[in-house]
Amino acid sequence: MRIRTQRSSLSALVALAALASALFACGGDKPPAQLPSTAARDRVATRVELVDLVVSDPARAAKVRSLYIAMDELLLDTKRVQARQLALVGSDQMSSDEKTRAALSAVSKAEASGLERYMQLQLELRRFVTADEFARLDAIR
Amino acid sequence: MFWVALSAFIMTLTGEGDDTFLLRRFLDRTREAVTEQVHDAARKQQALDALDRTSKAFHQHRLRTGKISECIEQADRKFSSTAADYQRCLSDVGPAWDSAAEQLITLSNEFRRALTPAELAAIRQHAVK
Repeated sequence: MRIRTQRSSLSALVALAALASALFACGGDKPPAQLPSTAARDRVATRVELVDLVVSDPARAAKVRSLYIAMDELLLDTKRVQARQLALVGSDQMSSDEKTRAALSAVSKAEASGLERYMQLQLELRRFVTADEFARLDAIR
Repeated sequence: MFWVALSAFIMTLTGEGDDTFLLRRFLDRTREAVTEQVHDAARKQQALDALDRTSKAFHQHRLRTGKISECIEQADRKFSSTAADYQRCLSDVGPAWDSAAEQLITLSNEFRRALTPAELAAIRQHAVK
């Protein structure tokens, strides 16, 4: 259920991104890059349900799928932490530069720690796939 | 600056992270509101300049983080990637955000200084409609 919800959410984002691309294209402008955690999540989210097509061994496929799900959830959690901190920056409670700096530092730390854990999961993934399976998973866009 | 609140709001709603299109649209609406609400020419120009520089700072930050993204994607795509490959990508995460934070604080203060509290409230209302 959670995966389905996330897939729907992803579809909505893709539709929005397409709209944004179209609008920027009309203006001859290029949309700004996404944050690294957002771009990474987009990549792994597309692979979760396709692992079985690439990894034939059920035990390894289950492990690989669980790693992709862990990456997806990790990066989504990172976005939530960042959103909470950015909401603080935008609120009336942010009465000083120091408080703003602290909240933005928390956003940065969330990005760094999220990507650090993502890196560990990516490296672990390589233990459960062959080079050929890895290349086939990489080909999924 | 209060536009960050909208960005965060969108992020919370979608759960999908940063939405650059809506953020830019929000900046455009803020520009419109400044043009309509601020009648003092000098202060209006100061506020618009602060917004322009905010937009440029946002782009610069995304160009910088875009390089981090590209680096991570390259590491993701290589079966032989090591922790050292990823660490090279992550080395600029902190500095990139620190730099953006200082710019945001400076520009936010400039923007607020250019406006009266009443103007700021009116602009805020217009921009988040």
